[in-house]
Amino acid sequence: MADERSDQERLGRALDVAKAGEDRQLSALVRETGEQIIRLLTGCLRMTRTHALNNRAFEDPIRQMGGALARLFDLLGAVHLVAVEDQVYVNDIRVRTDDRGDGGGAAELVAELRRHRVGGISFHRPPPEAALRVLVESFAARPDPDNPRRALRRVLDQAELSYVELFGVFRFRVAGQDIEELPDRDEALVAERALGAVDEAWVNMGADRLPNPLPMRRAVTDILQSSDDAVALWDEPDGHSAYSGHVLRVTRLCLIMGHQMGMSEELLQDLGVAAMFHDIGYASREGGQGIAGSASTSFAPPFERHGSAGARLMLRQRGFHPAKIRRALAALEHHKDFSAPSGRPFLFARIVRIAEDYDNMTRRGGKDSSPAMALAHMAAATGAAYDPLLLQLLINRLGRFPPGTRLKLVDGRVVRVIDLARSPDTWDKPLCVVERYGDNTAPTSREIVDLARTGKVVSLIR
Amino acid sequence: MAVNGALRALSRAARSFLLYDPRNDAIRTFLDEYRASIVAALQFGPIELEVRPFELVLERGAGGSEVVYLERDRERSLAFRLFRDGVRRVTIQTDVAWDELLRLLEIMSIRFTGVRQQEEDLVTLLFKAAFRGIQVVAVEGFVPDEEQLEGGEDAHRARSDHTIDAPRDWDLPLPELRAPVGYAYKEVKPAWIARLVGECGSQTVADDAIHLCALILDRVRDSADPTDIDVFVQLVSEVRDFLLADDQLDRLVRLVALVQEAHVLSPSRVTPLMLSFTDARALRRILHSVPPSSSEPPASMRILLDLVPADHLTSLIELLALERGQAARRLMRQLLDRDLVARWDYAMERMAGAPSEVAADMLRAVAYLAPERVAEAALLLAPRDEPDLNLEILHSLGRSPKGPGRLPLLFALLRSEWLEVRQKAIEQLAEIRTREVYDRLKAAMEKGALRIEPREAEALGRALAKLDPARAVEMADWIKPKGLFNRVVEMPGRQMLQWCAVAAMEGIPGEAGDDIDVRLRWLAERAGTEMHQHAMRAALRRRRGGSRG
Repeated sequence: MADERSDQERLGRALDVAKAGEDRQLSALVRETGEQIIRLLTGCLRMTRTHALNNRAFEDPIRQMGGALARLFDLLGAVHLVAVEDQVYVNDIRVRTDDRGDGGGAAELVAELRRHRVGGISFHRPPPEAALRVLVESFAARPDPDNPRRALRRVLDQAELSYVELFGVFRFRVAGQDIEELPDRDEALVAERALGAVDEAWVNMGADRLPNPLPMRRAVTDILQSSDDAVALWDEPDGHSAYSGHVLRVTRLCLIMGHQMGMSEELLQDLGVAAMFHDIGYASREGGQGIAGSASTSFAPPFERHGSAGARLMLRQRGFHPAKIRRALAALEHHKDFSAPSGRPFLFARIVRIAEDYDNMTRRGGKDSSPAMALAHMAAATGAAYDPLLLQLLINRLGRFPPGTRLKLVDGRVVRVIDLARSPDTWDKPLCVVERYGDNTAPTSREIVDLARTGKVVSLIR
Repeated sequence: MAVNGALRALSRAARSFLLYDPRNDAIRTFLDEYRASIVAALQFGPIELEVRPFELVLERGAGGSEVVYLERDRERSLAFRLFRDGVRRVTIQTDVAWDELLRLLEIMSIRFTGVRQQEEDLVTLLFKAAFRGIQVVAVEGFVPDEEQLEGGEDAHRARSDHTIDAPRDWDLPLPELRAPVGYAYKEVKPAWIARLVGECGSQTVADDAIHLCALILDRVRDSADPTDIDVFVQLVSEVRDFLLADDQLDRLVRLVALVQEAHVLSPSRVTPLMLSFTDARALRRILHSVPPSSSEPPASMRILLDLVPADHLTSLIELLALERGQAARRLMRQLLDRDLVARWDYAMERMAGAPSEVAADMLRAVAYLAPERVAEAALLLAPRDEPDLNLEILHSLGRSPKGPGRLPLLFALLRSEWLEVRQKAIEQLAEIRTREVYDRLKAAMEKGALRIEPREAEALGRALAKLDPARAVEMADWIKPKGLFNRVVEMPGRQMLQWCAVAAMEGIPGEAGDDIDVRLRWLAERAGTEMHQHAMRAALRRRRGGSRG
């Protein structure tokens, strides 16, 4: 009996903490307010058939709709309306509206949105009344015959409503129809999706939308389920920005250190997401300037404030979660020195710092940008800039010659390291791929050299 | 059938948290049902499920498959939640530990009942749980099909054309490069790693959150940083809710101290935040976190109330109207000590208008904190003549010092409509041995003889005997009136007068055959059964030295 009570107590406590700040009335409030918004929106759309939008009849419903959206935003952060079949959901809560004679029901809204091939709308901040008029007008207008949603998107962007996100009409296949085959895990696809998630997060932050960590977390989960992909540690992926490439490499390096520490799955996930968001502050539009002499033309904050900007962006997400706290701390402190007089930075921040500086040093090109040289420079600052234990863990795993390092062998071949250190005994004898022979010709097929078995390094190509 | 039952039990249990507090006994029933049904299902082998949009299909290997769960309501459907988040297969092994099944229920409950759900989905939660007895297969990067993709789109969502590029000089300048040094493989001791890992985990979340609040406050103070006070306020609100949910009172106090520092930056924004730390909701949560066996509020709670300049008296009074738990109410009464006496007039005004349970609690608090003023407070409540409240008045009065206000109050309660109240008032009056009290009680008996019930008459009799046995002897005339005429003619109310007198005589010791004894026997011979027994009992007890009264 005592065990059963403690089970219930534990479960109760876990739920209380997971839903901190949410009481049972919250979902009822969301449902009620959602219903109000649906009615007002459909009511306004109907009125556009008989009245011009500048008619005073719109004043009250628009104002009320704005108020309702603002209330929901305060409670939830981003407000997601999903219209599917004849139902409308507000943040996963079904809104119950009857299709009465006066209309205003879910089915009517679904139909209105469908004209534009819109299945859902996300509001990343509460729109002012003027913006709501634009929204109503846009939805009331005749849809583009070819790409209605895309056209609608353009109209909203021109009206500076980039924080209103539009989604297509999703469908879930019912039983009896084809269910997709589960694909084999493909490392390239994992990386591709992760890069896509980073790029999308960047676009969303730039469009003044709220952070959505879930796609990042899914990407990190995928990476954690994959084997270590050493090539990805120096790779510049095609079709994606240098920024997303950097973020993904930093993430992988962080996860390497996390694995070396024996972190739990939960912490690894949080660390990975923190790494993916660590530089998101540059997406914030502060109106700052780049460093003197740079060609930067963005509105991004300067270097010394991008951490704070990133934390601010991430804290726009509503609701307490330990992961949110950790990534905000990581963003704030990831350029702080280990030995800073104001105190040691947060653990995640120290990990990201090492990963970030390593990648920044290697991607800048030029002299001494070899991965091995980057480590050598960093080793000189251990205990000052970098946590000595974390740096050592990374050194242990990257090896004497980290992935991407180019070496010259005694027989004249130039090789590139393609693997992490396999063991302490082979720490300085990695797997490599031949780039050139001593006569400067390239191999016709992929040729692997295991320095643990053959070959001797004569010099490092810096 | 068994698997169907188990899955439905899981779904019901997960959704039950929408209706009930996690600690409600009803939840216990759902948990028991879940456990029993899943144990029963696992007796037939592992549960291997294919997840479809609205169905769960049990894989039977060579035996084919069977739909064991179907629910098309998206809000209620376990299958839909799993499918939408990307889960495609779930296998529960026969040797799965109960702890893991409970954790599975926790995860499903969070997804069913949580409203703010941007951080995690079922896939990330399930992988994080690192189950041994439950395997999950999920689709990577699942996005549901669109009915019709629009031309030129490379993603399912129409993107904004207003994107910005990352600045080319991001993360520059690089830190100053020191001269390179050699490095080598070195073993890092497990104890050192353990210390590192220990810096970040569930046990440090609260401290990390408070540290973040402090850092954000620093940014707010920095005039070169655009971080404004609203960011701080929002963050602190969320951290506060977490600390309340996690029963971390000490850290709540630390957070309030930080909020105090922020107050000077924006009083209008920070004051409501400050007050929210001790509003009715917060106080209730804190009180529920105190072990029921605690006899007093924790010191941190008093510190918290000291730090927050709010009208705690009003919050506590309002909370008394909401709170049913006896342990919490006991603590609240003690917390009233901060303001009850200092704001006496306001407190009495609120007490006079409060529901009877609240008024009773406040009176109890007065008895505890200012016992010499109990009568003063009780006099405000007595005219309401509510039985529970009056009993509380009598209880508090009985335990407080005897002051001048006591007597009028007791006589006021003697006029109560409620028998139990009158009885207890009589008992307390019996302690005040004055002529006045005797006279008034006797008069009350005489005047009320027609309507008084036996219990009250008895109480009066005993009281009179206790107050003044010598004078009480005169009441023997009520038992057997003098003169034949008086004995023959039935006087109005005589029966109750007799009853009262018999009770009084019981308290006056005597011997067999003395005058009182003779009268008691005379009455016993002539009276009905109840009066006969009453009189004979009194006679017997007199001979034994009188009742204890």
